[in-house]
Amino acid sequence: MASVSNQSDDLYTLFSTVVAQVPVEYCEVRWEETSYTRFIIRDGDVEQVEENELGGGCVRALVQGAWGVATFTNPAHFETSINLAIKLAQLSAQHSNRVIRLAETIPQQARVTFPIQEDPCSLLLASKLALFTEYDRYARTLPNIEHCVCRYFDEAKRTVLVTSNGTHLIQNQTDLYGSLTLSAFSQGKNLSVPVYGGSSNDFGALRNLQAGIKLAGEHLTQLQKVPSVQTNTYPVVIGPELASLLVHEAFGHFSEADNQINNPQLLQLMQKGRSLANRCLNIFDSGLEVGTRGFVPFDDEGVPGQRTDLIREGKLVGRLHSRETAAWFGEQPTGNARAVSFRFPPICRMRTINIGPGDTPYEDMIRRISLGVYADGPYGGKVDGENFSFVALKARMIRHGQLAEHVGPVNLTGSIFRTWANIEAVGTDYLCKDTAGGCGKGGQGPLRVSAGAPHLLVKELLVTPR
Amino acid sequence: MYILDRLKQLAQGAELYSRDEERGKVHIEGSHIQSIQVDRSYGRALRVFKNGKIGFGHTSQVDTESDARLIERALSVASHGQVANFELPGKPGSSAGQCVDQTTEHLEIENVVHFAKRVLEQLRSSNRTLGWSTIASYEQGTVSLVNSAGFEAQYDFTNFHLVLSGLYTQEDDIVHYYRKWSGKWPMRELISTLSGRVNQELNEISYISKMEHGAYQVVFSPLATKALLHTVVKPITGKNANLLSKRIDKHILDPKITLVEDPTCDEFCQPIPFDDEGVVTRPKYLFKEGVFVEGIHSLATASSVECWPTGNGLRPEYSKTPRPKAVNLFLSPGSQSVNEIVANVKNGVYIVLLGNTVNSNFRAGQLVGTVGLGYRIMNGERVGRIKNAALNLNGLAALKNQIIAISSEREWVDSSFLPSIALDGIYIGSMS
Repeated sequence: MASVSNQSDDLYTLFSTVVAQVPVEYCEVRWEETSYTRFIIRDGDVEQVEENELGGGCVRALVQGAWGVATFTNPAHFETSINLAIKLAQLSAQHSNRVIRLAETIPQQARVTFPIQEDPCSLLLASKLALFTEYDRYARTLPNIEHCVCRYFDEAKRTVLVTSNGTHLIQNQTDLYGSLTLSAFSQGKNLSVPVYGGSSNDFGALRNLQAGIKLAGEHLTQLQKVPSVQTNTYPVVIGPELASLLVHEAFGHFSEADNQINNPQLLQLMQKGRSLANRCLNIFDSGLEVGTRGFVPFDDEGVPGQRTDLIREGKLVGRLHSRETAAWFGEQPTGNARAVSFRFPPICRMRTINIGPGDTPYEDMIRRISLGVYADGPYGGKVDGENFSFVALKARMIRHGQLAEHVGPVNLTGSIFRTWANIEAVGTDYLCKDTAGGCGKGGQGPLRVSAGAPHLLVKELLVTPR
Repeated sequence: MYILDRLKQLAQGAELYSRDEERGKVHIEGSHIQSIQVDRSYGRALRVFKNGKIGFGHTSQVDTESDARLIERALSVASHGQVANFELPGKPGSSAGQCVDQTTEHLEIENVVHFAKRVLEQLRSSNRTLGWSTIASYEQGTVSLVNSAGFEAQYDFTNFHLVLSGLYTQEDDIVHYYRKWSGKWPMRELISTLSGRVNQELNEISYISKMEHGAYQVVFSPLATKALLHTVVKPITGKNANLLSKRIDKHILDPKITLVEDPTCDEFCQPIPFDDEGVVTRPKYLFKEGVFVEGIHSLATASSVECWPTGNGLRPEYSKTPRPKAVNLFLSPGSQSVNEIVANVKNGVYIVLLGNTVNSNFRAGQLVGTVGLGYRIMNGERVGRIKNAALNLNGLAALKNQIIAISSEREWVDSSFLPSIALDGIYIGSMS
């Protein structure tokens, strides 16, 4: 893998000099140099492979309470981009009736490097390809597996952030993920089961996946034989991986303060102090979990990562802020202003969002249900309006307080706010497993994030076969 | 040409793609300008063919040192790369093309701000139930492509995009409504008829109608039809077409379905003269009266399923490799008006938009999604909005056996021109 160049060190000096002299309320430049490796292996054949570099910058200027943003790929265009951003901010100010202010922060001067365990950058492309080729070969020796697609990605990104209020940060970040999707056709249906891993500091997260591949193969074989669930509303025990996706999609995005500002009704629904769920529910977001893909020691405005409580004992207590939204609410920035790349300005995003463990053992949840569904193994999902919809690949009926027959993949649909109010129990367990996916918002994706959760018992969800 | 000249000694073939562009974007939330942004980028991507394999690299820098690194990277990756199962196209029929809308070409960001504000004011004045936002953006630039087989051409391009979003919220009842167009600077008719169309789709949004799980007659609006068509376009795109490639010239869909894909159309969309691999674009029947005619391919996928490339090898940006993608879709209209179709539905649903189809397995024709905005139809009348409903269907089967009618009216959705479709026996699960 190519290493990140030192061009950013030279630019750092230039940016510091120029930004300090710009006569506006606030100005920042963020320059990124990324080197990445990406490949896809389909049924043993390399379908795509890349080792590449990408560089570019984003200038943001605040003039008369309005933003202007300009991005560029040629460092020689830096100063013209500053002038362009100022001109765009002036134009925006002429047409806007809201004055943007920024919450005060302590300027940060630091050089940060993620604490690496096994560095993907130290490995040759050939060895990464060899590892996944071996996984692919092993997967296709398993019974009933017809196809296997492997995807791998790693990147080393150096970000230089210089702001007019005195922040000077250089962050060396790492991200990596890999996945295998095993699939088979059965009764006219294409069935797939993924195996995945990810990390912000350790290629080791992708080693020794054979046991997971074997389990996925057995699961896929099982899916070919099981009946479909009968469409109905059921009580559902949601496994930790699916609960992680649920909290990200069906709560986390509503906690992003920019979403609330732009929607007065949502703001009303998300008033601090409102009781959203039973006392067993606690939710927080954090940038402090070293090694997870949601590790964010400083956000893209230079605000340090921290833990932000969002729900405590069922009540709303916090929001995810940028400096702009924190000022709007009269609250403190939380370190959640993130941009997926230099092509975008930072917006409010999650890092690692968590449901804290509760006090009900998983076995007790099952015992409470006379007819219901157990669901885990997320395979995509999204929120639209008040509805969410998620696919769970691992599904079993619950009958008379016991796990009963396996059923095919299910689609879980529900109303967001009704579902949070309907959480009857939170498990004593907890799992935070990094995926090969990412978060999308406002055209910015996939952004590296993590999520963790215990088992949840939900009183009622619409369950349909996928 | 320096790069290709260097590579003559080092590889058996090469292709250099470059894209120089400016994008301007205005984002307005309510009456507040969220941001105005201008992006300027230049980048080149290199594919080299060496010892039967492909290497790929890209750079945004313009100097000899960067060129040398680009060549080195692409050659280095080639030893591990994808098997080169195709040949690059040679000289094109014409060396240049014009894909420029004169208005968009001379657009300044100020024009976009005024336009976006006007659209929002119009929507707000006609419908105050929803909170409105918009993103209006333009692209202006030049694409050029040169390869070792003798292809050398470039074209200037423009594009305009408009996304409208409306958020309806009553306590914890939330509906996200959106419309999206891509192509030339919006036609005057689009704006003048916008309010009427939007109001028609949002008319009964505040009345909730109950429904049970079951099979219904379902009318898909042009917007929902776009999602439905994914279930027949994805299975004939790229390597996915492997299974259906043996069924060319066979009836796969109902004879009412004639679907054309046309990257050259310049009525509303922006045409392109050749794809991002140098294959000349052309209009093509995907399905003619239900018969599968041809799929959507890049050079590599066409070779893998043993057919001709179709001029659909496209790159979303210079730093990506070409992938097969369908662009402007045209579905032939039927004979009944939408009003007539709805009037004939005894017990059904009208789906304005499908909310969440990310769980769909489009490659297998499977569509799973929530009903983002839909209305209950009883005895030919829309009687109220349905909530918390989800549907699950196989589009290949539904568009073969379950079509009741296709509307005579069509609408632009993104850059496609589509009618409404009514299907019978669509299973919908509901919590309301």
